[in-house]
Amino acid sequence: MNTNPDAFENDLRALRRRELPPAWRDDVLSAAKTPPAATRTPRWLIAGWSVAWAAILVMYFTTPAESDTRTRSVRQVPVLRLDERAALIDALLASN
Amino acid sequence: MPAAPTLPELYDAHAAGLFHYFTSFTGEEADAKDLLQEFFIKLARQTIPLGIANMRAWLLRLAHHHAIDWLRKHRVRRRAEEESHAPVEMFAPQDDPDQAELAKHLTQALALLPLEQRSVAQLKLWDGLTFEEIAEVQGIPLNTAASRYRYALDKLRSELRPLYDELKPS
Repeated sequence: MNTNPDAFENDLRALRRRELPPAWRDDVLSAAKTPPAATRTPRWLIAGWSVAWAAILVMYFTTPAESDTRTRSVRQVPVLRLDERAALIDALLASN
Repeated sequence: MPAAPTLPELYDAHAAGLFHYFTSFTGEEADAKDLLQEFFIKLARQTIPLGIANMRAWLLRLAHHHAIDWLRKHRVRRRAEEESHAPVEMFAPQDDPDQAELAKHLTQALALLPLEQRSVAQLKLWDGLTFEEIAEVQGIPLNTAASRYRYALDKLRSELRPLYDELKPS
């Protein structure tokens, strides 16, 4: 592979590329120094989330288990219905 | 061991070269400037390893990946635009009118090259990279880098021949 430049290559290489406008330097470097938006979560938002999660945990551990009440109420329904039916039957028999 | 260069130092030494490399992908100055800015933002968020032998080649390798990502996102738009825009002025104003004429025609001739050849020509002619470094920057075999450069140079020679022969006596 011949890597020796010829006169044409040398003439092209001798042309200077243009410099960047000086104002770009500040644009680019100040943008590069700005911290990414994702890492700038406001402190008040972090504190708010912490309080909310703490409240959820406190409520979770202090509220009695729901399954007991549900079982009790499910058991009560037929009892009440039986009482009602008994009362209705009694009333019917009494009227006759 | 010397400390890693700061961002302003990298900008001063390499931003123009990176911008011209991006221009060979975008064909538009505004897009190339956006790419340059995004590139420096990325650079600011990563640790620059110590002991890099050729900082220019290292930066250009990162810049190449950055430009390829850009190209994937903007391929359709770029195809539509690249034929409708005048090429971005690449060379500084030349004192010698013959040189100025050559620079003007060279900018146009470069714009006619396929992206693969144009970018290799830039890296070889104006960034001063060897074929080995170009192959590493672009992730291509050494022979591919050399042949792309040869094709690019042949096309430039053919495009510029009448003007070049006229100016050559100097």
